[in-house]
Amino acid sequence: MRKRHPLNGLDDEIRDHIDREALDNVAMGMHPLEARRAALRKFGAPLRTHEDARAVWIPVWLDTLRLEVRQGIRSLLRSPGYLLASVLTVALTLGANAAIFSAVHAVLLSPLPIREPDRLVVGWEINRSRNQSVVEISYRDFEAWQGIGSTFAEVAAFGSSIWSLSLEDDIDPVRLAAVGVSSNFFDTLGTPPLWGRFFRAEDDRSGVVRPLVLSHRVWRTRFAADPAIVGATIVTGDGPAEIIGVAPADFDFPRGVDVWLPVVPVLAGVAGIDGLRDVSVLFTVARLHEATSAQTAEANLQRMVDNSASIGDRFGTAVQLTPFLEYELGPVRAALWWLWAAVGLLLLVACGNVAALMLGRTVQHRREHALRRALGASATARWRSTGVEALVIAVVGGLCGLVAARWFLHAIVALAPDDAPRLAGATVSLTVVGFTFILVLVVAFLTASVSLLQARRLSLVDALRESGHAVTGTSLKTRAWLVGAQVALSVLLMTGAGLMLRSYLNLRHLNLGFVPENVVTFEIDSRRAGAAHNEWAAALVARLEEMRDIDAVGVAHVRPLGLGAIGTDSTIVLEGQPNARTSAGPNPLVNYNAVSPGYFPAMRIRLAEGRLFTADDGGRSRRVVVVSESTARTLWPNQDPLGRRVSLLAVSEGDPAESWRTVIGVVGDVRYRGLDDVRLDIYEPASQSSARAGYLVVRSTRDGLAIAGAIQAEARRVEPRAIFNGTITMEAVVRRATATWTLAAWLFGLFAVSAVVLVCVGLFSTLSLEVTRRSREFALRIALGARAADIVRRALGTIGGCVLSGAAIGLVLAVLTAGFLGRLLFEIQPVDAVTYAAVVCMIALTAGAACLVPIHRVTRISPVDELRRID
Amino acid sequence: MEDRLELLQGTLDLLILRTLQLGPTHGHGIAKAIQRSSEDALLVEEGSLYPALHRLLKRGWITYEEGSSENNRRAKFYRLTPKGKKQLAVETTKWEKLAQAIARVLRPA
Repeated sequence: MRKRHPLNGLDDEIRDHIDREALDNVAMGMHPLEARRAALRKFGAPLRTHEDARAVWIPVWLDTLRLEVRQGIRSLLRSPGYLLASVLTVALTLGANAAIFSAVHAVLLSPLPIREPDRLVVGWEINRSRNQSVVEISYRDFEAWQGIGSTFAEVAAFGSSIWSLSLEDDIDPVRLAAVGVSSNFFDTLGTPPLWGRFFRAEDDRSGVVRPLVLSHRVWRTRFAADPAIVGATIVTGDGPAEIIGVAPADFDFPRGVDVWLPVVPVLAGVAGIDGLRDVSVLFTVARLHEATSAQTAEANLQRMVDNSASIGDRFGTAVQLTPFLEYELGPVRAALWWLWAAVGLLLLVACGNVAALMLGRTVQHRREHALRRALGASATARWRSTGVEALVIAVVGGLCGLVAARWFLHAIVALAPDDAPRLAGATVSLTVVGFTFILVLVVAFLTASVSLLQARRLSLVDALRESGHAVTGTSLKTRAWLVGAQVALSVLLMTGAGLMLRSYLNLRHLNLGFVPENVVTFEIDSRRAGAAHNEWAAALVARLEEMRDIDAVGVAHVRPLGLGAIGTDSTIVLEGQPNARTSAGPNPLVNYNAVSPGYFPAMRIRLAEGRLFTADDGGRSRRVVVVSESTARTLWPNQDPLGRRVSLLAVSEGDPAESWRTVIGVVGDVRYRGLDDVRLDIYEPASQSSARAGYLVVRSTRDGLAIAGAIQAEARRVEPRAIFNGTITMEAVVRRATATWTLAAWLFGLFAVSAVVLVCVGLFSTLSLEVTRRSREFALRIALGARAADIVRRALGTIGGCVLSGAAIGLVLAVLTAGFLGRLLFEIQPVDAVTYAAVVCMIALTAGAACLVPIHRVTRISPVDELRRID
Repeated sequence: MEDRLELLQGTLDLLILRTLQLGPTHGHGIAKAIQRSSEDALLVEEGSLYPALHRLLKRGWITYEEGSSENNRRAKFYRLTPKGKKQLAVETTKWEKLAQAIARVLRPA
């Protein structure tokens, strides 16, 4: 392949041609000079030849563009301050936009390995009379849902909470997060298996070996991504299981699941009762028919539930359907959309500043342009050069911005919730680059058009006549409008940031009911049955209490702020109420926990009345319980709960009459299920409960993670086959729960501050220019006796008006749109007086700061100097 | 000089191809050859020669090599490519047909 281009050396070729012709002419007898002239004449214009030859290879417009770009770059380099300011502004804001878009793309826009997720809904029941917003259903209920053919194309069921399945492995026993699903679960979602197959109807029949589907993450980390693992049998704590398939890489539903198992064998195997009818642990995920909306589906379902004969003890039951994406992605979804909007607003504000800078330049160069026009340049020449300059700035800014975007993205991923779905995979991909490129064009267009619209109003004659100031009257009005628009946008941003910040602060100061500092928790499994495990745990706790650096140790069945709806709801019967199952109905469900005596001090849960558990509350002592303040208030309003007796039907065996428990203490409320979810807590001593106390809670004087190893060693000494899992500090748990608000508050705040800075700078430069432009006029007025206050009022007049109207418009828009923030607001109203007042103050401060220097200059105008000055 | 006929753009390409069929040469040589073979009847504006050469280069009908000419100066020597040879035949036929057709129209009725 020849790499040289025919255009290379064309100049030499032309020169040679003319030389040869000249030589021929000389050979024919001409005088050398005449020969040369004749040759030139015969040739024509070499320049024209060159251009025409170039035009064969390069389209004319492209050539012109190249020239313009070169000229534009040269011109920009001559004003390095302007270039730096514009490029920096554009780069930072475009970078932020690219980073946020990467996150949005990764989390919200890239397709899930699920067919048409917007036609899916997740369903459960609600029981308003018991104040239960989430009530699981049983398998028979699920089958009833399937029976409504017209509403749903397909209905599947999955367990509402994840249980721990221990993987028996001599090398490294581990607990996996397992969930039970109906056999049509994967088919309903429309997910194809990566390897192997998913469940079929026959998998619902209990066999010795249970079929099991692996998640991609576990397949990669535990089984080395080996396709041959399909078909292998592994030993789990619940018996042998055969791996029948592997889920695709991006599939994470329910969130955090490691393995899926058929739920029917699990339910059918519950001893003593009809698990399929009486155990309510399922949610449904259903695919709507093409023509059905979610509301219609809900109405149809409600009708079915109302008419169903199996209502019995379910008064006031209603049905709730949530769109699948909202269920899966949670508040992160809303947070990301809003952040994208916010960063877009910031970009507009930045464009305003750059447009103002460009306007200044256009005005400054109007004399030069006027001269060019007068000498015959086309009218479009100026447009082209302004456009090219804007494009160059935008492109350079865009490239720098993409580099900055990688850092921004790192920061975002670091701030975001650990379990934020799909965020970890966000990168500055080609899509992001393409999006940024579009933004670059938008930025160039916006910034150039302001200058161009203004330039049309600059008359040529005036331009040649005027003194070449950097600003004209009309351009100043345009600038003032720009600033006004920027103020409006900033007000929007600041309002959003203020609301987010207050939500975040409310969250931080929330009384969680426990003290998370210096507490570390582990998931422990001794491989024994429930009661035996609790005995082992008590022994372990006793040993650990003697260790150095440990303040308190306890075990519990449920840990606060566990991921998802993890917890046990129990029915309760108060002494004095009739004992039948149906009368437990009107009583609210309580949040059950089985704990060792050391749990309360380890978590520093406050004791309000009575006493806590002691070692004396053992298996053979009187059965006791501790309740929370909310429980006491709800069950025994205005009465003393101590000494009252209750029965927990769900966990007691045998004749309920023999299992009355006495209330011996009242503690503070603890948020177990979620930050804004206060349940009615009730605690039993672990030694009196068969519920497995699988969480070890340790309060230490030092950093808990540092002594985790020692604790684990101690546990292994007591039971060599013990499994230790999920080591995490309570601080990390709280941080994870609040991460979405942390992210939103930080980023919104950052954007708002940036916008304010930009507005301040823009306002300042506009005011300075105004003062400069009218300094003569002011000098005259002062000489004629005007007071300083008068002058200041004149100087600030137009611009002040624009700022005020901008702020007003911004506030109105903010009030109208703040309501849509919805879930992101934590314990705060969208129209919150404090926030809006703060925003107004910020605007006033910003405007004030920007005004200081210009006003100072105005007051220092010396009429004599000014009038003497010759422009 | 005034007697010389001006060339249309497309025909210049044809003449160049024909000239190069006789052997590779440089730009000046082509101009001289056309002038000579037409017995001085055709006026080739030499400035338009080079854009024409580049058009032909772009179409792949001719190609060039660096070489040194009679007086030991470096020059680009152009020659026909196989595609160019084929194109020359095609264009020649078209031109002859065109000439015949025009002649027929101009024949006295």
